[in-house]
Amino acid sequence: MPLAADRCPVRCRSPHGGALVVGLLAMTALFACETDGQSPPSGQLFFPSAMTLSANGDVLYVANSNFDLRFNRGALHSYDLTRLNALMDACPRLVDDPTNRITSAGECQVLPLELEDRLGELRQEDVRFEDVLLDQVQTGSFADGMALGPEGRRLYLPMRGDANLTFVDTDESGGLSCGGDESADFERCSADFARVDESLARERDVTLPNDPVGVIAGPFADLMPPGSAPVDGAYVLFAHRGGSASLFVDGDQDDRPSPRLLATLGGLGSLLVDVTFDDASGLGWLASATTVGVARFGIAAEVIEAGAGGFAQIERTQLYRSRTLVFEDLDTSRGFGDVRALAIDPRPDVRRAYLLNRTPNALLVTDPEAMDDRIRVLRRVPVGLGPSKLTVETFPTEGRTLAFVSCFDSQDVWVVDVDLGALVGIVRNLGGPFEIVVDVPRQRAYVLDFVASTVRFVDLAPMLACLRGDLMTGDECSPQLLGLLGRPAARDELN
Amino acid sequence: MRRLPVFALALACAALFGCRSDPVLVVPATFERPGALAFVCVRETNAFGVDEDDEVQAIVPFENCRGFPARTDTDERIEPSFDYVVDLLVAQTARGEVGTVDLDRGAVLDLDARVPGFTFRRVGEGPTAIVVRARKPPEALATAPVPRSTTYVASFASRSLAWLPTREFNRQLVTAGDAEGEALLAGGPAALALVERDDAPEGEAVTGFLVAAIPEAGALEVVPLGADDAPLADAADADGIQRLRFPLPVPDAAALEPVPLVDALGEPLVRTGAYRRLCRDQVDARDDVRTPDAAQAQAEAEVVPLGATPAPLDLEVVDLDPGSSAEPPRQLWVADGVLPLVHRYGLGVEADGTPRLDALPPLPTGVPVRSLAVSPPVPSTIPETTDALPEPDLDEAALYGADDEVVFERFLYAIDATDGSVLVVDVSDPGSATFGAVLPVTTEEGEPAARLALRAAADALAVVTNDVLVANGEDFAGDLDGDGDLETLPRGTFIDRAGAILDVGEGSDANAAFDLNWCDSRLDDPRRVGLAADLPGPTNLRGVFLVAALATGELQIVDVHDLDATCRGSFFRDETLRCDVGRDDQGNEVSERDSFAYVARHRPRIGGLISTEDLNLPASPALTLGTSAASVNEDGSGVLGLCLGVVNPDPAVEALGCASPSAPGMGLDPLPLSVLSCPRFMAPVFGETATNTDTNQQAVVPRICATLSPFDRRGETWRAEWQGLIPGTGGGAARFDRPEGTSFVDALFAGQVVVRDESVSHCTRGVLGRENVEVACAEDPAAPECGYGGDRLRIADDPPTPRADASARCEVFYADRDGDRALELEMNIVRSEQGALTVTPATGRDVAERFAECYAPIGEDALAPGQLFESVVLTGDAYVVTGTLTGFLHRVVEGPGGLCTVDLANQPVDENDPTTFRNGRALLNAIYRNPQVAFRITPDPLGEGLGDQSSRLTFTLQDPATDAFVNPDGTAVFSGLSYLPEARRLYAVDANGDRILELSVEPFATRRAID
Repeated sequence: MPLAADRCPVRCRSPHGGALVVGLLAMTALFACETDGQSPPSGQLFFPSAMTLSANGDVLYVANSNFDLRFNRGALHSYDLTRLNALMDACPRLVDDPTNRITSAGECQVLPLELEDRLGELRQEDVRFEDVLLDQVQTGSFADGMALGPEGRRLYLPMRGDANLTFVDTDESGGLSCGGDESADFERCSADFARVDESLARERDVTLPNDPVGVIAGPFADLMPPGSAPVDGAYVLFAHRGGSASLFVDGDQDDRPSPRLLATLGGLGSLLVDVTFDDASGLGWLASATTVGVARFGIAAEVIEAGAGGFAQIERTQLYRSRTLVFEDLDTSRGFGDVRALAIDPRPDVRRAYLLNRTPNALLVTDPEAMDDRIRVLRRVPVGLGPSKLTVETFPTEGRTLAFVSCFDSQDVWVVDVDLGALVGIVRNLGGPFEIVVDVPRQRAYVLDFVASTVRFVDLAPMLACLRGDLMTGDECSPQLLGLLGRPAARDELN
Repeated sequence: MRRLPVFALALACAALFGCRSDPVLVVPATFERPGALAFVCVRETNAFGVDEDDEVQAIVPFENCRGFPARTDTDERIEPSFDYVVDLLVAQTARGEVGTVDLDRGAVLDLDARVPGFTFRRVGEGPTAIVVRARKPPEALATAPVPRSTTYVASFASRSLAWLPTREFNRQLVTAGDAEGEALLAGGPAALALVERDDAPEGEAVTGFLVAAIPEAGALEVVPLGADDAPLADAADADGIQRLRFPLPVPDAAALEPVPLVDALGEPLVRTGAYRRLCRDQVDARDDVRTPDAAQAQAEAEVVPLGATPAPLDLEVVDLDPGSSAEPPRQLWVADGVLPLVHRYGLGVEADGTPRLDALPPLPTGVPVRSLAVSPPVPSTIPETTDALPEPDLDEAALYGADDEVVFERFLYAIDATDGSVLVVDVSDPGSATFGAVLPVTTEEGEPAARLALRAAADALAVVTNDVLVANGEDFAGDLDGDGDLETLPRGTFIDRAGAILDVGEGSDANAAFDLNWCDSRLDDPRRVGLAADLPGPTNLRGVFLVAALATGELQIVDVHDLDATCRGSFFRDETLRCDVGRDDQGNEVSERDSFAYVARHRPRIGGLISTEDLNLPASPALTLGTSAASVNEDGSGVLGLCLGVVNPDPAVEALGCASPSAPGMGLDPLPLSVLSCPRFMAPVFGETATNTDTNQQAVVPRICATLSPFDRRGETWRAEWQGLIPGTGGGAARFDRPEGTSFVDALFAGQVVVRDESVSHCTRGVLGRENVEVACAEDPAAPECGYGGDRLRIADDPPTPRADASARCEVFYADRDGDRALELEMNIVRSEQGALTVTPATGRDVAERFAECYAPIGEDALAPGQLFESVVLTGDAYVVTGTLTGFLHRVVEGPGGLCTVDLANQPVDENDPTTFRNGRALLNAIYRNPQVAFRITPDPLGEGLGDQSSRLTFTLQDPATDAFVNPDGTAVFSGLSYLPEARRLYAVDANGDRILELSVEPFATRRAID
């Protein structure tokens, strides 16, 4: 395992003394070595862990976690999605062309030009080096989620390596900026963009918990009671693995460039893995890998003169503990729950919450309105092994709302019609599927392959055609793998 | 930056060693998300005269597999010479395939041994239903070729119907290829049914038809089948087959109204009666339990559609008794997942053989349903016992009696699509006024009255019929009387495997079908040799039962008609011992307790015998008062200052205080019997034994009463705490609203403060202010809430200033390690509204002023407008009564303007109905009642300072009834249940475990897992 200390530029002499001396020297080396280690390679995906679309849908942001600590930093990439999809569309035609050297069975592999110098020897294979990487910046390690701000101009990443929030400014063209040297080829985020402003919190004896594992963001006005005066800025919510939630405000004041920590709340369970926000109830929901239920918390903004014209004192916004919803009607034979992801139905006229569960492996369809202190599970839809991430999207043309479930252990993605509880498709042969982004207008899904360090492009058109009834006898209805972004990495078993 | 290497090293180590300790091993599954099942009867040898060398096995009509021999627990075949085996077809929904299991050998068939793993037949993406057609050959059996058999598979994702030879799923044919045919449907099919035309004339083009349920189209699609089993051709159709579409109708509102449960005179009809308390030679009908109230169930029957467009999800072909009504005898019932009904169609054909679906009045279930199961006709009551076993007699008059008094009932079971509960519909007689009525079957607290009291939501249902054949006026494939002919049995005849007529129902001479000799004779039945079945018991299912596959991964049994009922109920095999005596034949008292079986139709089957002692408290209650705590004695005494009074409204008893009514000198000698009566449907479970000196009778003085019905009893701990916390009222966003310009303290003492907290639904949680109670009691002075002065609000929050910076004066407001505070601001609730409480101070002005000072925001000297606090609601001068399962009961709802209102109109209290006492506040010295328990906490004049001290009563009720259920190993998500009566085996599909569980019914247990 290449670690920073291994590449110490100072000549560290081998000790001839006892173990204590060895230990002391090792510790000295660890602390004394002035090195940055190996910088992340330009344009290369390395254990990508989070992904999201730009507001206009033309840019795909991918956060690299640097999970194996091979490099000294993680990285955030932005990709030209229009061009990537065009390449994927062209790929089958290229395969069919006998004069073309692309020989794979219809799956196209695209690598950014930035890798051409290092990986040029792959050109004879079915690989295309293309100018698809719009920008990249170096971040901390262990990004565990990513959220785009309400105006689409700022990305928020819970960075477990920094135990803090990293934020990166962006624009419609995919440019990335985070306080570093923007003239550099591979900008390195400044420390100011890798931490939040905790001055307000310190006054209230509040500190930011470590191990952030989930993030959501939205307009701060969404948190305000109905009728109160509008407020500017965005809210950002974190879940922390140890059982806490944190609330930040960003952009509410021009003279404060960094998000400000407003409040934290602990005692919300253990081994949290995801957070989502239920607009209808105004409560945050937390998924836990150990709790037989879902912890919830509320956000209360102090409003002077409640009602019309009242204005909020954002600085006094609090988090409060709401009732934990305990599972009812679920086989938890192992004695504990294991919810890995949460989603609220995106349709305004449908009140359902979806919970991705591992014991058993099932997508749980629940009714938030019917919940008192218990989660009444309306339907359990079995999915593959090791379900990890969940995305629920509505396809207006087909009149369907579909859940996309990545199953890390069975290496596939399951697509479920949430209204009928019916399986409508499976995408197989994925190394380690994790985050999923569904691109409804393009009828595509992008799947992060954590193990292979690639992004898989999936064509949903065959499946959607079948759902529309626009098919012929014998047509395949499953989503089709089109190709991948990035060079698949041959990793050792992650065990 | 220097810290990075250390952190990186730690993380790397964690990653390396943490991951290494628990590698994920993925074993390729035999099945992948198994779903629909279908059974196939396979002729193993050459029973049809096929050449001995012909190794081709034959798919034959399923009636040949009647009597498919079960295996013993030691896996020995009971009838080794049997020529037929059953194959099980299993849809692989994740792979678009159908696999086959040889149930005789428990082996999964591999269609291509050259390929690693199991190769199954590809059918279509997302197969949801399988139907097998195996018709008799038209020629004489001796010369018949191998009969034709076709399998039809409906696939949701590919919206297709495929038909192919059944033999392609069998091991003898390994060539995979295209199906014999495939056609697209109007949408993804959810279910498929086959309707055979047994009466089709020779040469008729249409020999039967398939019906596919298409949810997204809101329609049924009907595909006529020809003599070759293939769909009839239609050149105009894109797929070249004939098809008919039947859009499901949307009935008007009148058709969705519940069918009233009234008798001929219009009086409410209670369809389910008392439970039975059974001993081997004794049937004891108990009516000391509240029976489900038909009228109440009807009142709760709110019509709940999930949309406006029909969505058929399940199909059931139902054969009614021919001639019993004017309706078509063969019908198709359709579960609708959106509309609150079950559609019904009469099945028939036009003159040219074209299938006809004639819409019949639907069954108004009140809710959408997603799965159906129909019982056979069963006698309306549990049989009585007599001393004589009647000889089998096929004479109908002897069976039914001259007046044909047998009353049979039939039930439709359906899973409520809104919550997974199971409802029961009366489908006994289409001509009856109650046909289609949803039956009230449950009185368990917290459950809908018209739902089975299952342990959890149901995912699948199956009706299990064991040792029962319900003849329908048709030939029975057996010679019962030895005359060489197959018998024709009258409607509703029950016979066992040996041909003995077991029970024909109520009112006939032959009804006396049980005697003790017969009960014991079961052990000698050669058909049962080697089976685990012992004495009739809760896990041996003989009769008709509903099995529900639950979301908890369990399979639970519901009693419908237990043919062994009268053989159960005592561990004494000697019939001279009566259950209720407990003495042997020498008159000596036996040490073992008497035990009874409890059986009631549509109640969860109880998995053990119950002794009367099991119904009493397992341990003495505990009372605490301040720092004093003690177990309560049987005479109600415990701690100084409090006791458990007698549960009796007699003023003379009330005046006794903590003294025992049977104690000398209490002025109650002789003891009036009225003192010893619990509220109706309850019995004492704790109290001393007293003697009436006039009659010399002994009885228990009721200190704690509880329901005695094991079906209604909940095992839980009850806790009554003086001024305790009302569950669910803790809120984190309370703020004080007061008139502008006034100080908080002044406004509080002027009654002008309203505490608003939108995070708490105060009405939903049952919060009552003084005015709320007064409004209710003005209308109903006898309401249990009367006499109560309202709840209290407590601010339960630390001040904003960090504790380290707090002044000594404010230190009292900070919580200690246990969460307790030396001082808290409490307020009396005057009026409770949803999210808003009008309050007056319950503490002195000094506390309020100190609160306002200490809770000011950092850097400020007064409470800020809109400032947020955590708060909780406590009872005022009352005990808050909570059960660990039941919780806090109340009948408070949100009224006009958000005012919290006692729901007198819809939740009236009925003195004779304990379930109506939804009250969670016990007043001192008043009888407290709820659906489970009744008690009275009484102050002792000798005690001092009661009002200033916390006091608490705690006791535990045990639930003596253990449900009969099976809980397989591992987490399970059941996607289907199929019962094979020929083998007396139930097959449960565990989609999470990628396996099929095979269960026996004698005993009801997992026999093996096929995976």
